[in-house]
Amino acid sequence: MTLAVSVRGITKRYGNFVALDDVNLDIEQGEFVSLLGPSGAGKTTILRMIGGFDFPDSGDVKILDQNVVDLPSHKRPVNTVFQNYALFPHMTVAENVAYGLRQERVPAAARKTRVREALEMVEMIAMAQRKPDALSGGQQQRVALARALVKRPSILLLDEPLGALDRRLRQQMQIELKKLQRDTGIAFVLVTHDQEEAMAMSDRIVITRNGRIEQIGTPSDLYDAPDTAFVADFIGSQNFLRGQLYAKDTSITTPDGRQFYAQRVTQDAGEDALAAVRPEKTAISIDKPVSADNVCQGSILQILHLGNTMEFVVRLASGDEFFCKRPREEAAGLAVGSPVWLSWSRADMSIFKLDQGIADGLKGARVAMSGH
Amino acid sequence: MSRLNATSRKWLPLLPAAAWWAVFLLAALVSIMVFSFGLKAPLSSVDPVTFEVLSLENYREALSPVYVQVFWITLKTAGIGTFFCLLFAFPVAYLLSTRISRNWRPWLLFIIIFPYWVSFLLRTFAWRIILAPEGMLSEALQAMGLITGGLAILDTQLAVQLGIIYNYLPVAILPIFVALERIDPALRQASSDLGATKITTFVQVTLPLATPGLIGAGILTFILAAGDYVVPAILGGARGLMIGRLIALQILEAQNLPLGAAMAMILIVALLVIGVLFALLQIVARRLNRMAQGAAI
Repeated sequence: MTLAVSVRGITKRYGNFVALDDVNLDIEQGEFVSLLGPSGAGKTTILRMIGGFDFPDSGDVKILDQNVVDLPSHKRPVNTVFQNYALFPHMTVAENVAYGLRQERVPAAARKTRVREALEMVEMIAMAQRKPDALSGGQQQRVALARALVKRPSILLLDEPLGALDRRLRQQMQIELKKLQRDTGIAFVLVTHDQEEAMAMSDRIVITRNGRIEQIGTPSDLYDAPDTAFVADFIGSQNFLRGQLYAKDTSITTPDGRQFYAQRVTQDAGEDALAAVRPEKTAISIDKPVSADNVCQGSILQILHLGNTMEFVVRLASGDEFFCKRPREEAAGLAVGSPVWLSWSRADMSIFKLDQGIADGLKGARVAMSGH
Repeated sequence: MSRLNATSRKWLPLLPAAAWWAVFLLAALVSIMVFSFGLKAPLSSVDPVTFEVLSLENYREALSPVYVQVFWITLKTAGIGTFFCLLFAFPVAYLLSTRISRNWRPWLLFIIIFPYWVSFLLRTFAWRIILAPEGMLSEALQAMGLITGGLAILDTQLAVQLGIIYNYLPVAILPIFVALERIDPALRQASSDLGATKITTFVQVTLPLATPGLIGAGILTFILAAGDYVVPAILGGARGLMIGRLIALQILEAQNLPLGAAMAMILIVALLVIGVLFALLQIVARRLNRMAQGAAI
């Protein structure tokens, strides 16, 4: 099958800063793909290369088997929903939507029908004669979607489209975007730094970091089987422990001599490694658990209410801070300062190659190093 | 202070400017208007104007063919000057707001404004040296064989025209620059994304959004140019006349304050009429554009 987008080996430098470093990415037709990463990771630059707003120093961008790497944006069969919508302030909603069709010289009758259909699709037909500045953020968002979709592109690019909306509206728009994507069958490529947003909508997620692609996979792939400590931390969150991984072993030994067992060890993990367990998989109790693969002791530093769950911040003897997310029922009798036991199953622990960025953030590691 | 109601407190910050204008602008305007209906006093009188009979004599004289001719030249010179100022100013403002990095813009704006550090009079006078029949420009053009004999521009209407364009160019650049700088660059990208070429984007997005700035620049340049009297006085000689110069002559040299006042009133009215005509023209143009494009839905 013809790929919607095929990005091959694109590299982009701005002076000494490498914005993209040999990026390869295939997007299938009708697929919802999110580019997810911290700011400056290169996700927006990838989007701009597909849209034709930026051009790579080397590499190719193919859209539906056609190499478009030298084509300017107005000659590419893609449309974009911009971060702040970029609606034309001097035109009405209907004129904004009609603008792209005028450029294609669509006859007046057909144009009016398509504008009407596009506005009905996003439920903005009642606002057709308003100017953009008379609309709320959510309404502007819908107009921007209609303006891009009315062109019937093969690929729709969305640059942090929900960033300017409040939480409730954002969740509602996530559902609508997903529905719109399924109904139209257009490939959506969405840039976001919000992992929940990416998890909620995407068929596949592309994790970018420092101008490279760290991992590509379905939301469950990334959640259950992250390749690196960075991905594990970025999708959801993790408690990390730094320690020694002995050859052929599936456990690490921390500097204070404790041993923690894991189910999964990534291929590239070296002797100095990171073990990780998610806060929602970490149990907390006052008494020492009878049977648990991994246990350690600490004291409660903080308790946070998160609606139906509670989050505990626990300081371990090593100085590391562990997060533990449990249902409210389990919080009975626990207070700030209480000495507690943490425990988790080896099935929920993974061992990764050392990631300096994450290791530097570990308090225990710093304590251990300053102890030397 | 506490006795002031909310409305007066809201407008209180306007007081200094309003008072200043009431005294110096409004009072002056009203007295000019009153003078325009008086008559030139005999030389023996202490007051420059007598109001023994209120007459329209000054207006009759100010609208005599000779003066109407000068009014016409004034509006034409200001009009052509405004046209060229806008024409030259737009590309400068456009490049400044789109191609130059934000860090450099204040410095380039400073350079554009820099001529204003030198006295208006002195700057204009410098042109006498440049344009003189035996001046640098004249000799350079003669050396290139483009003209024979001395350059015959000085003390003509052309010299006045050149001086006007030169003097008001920065005034035209600033409002256009401000309007262009406020246009979100994403709008140009969105236009391109929707299939528009660079030229279409310019005509359909950039230009309409810059129109308020262009109108502001046009009005400012036109009004300042139409009332200018320094440029015609210095560069125009006897042949380069503008109404501002004539008004100054009536008041300062011919001691005919009422006639000068009547001319000033006519200039004000003429500028207002032209302003209204332009506003109407713009509304009509916008309607025609809408009709030509056809309804969007």
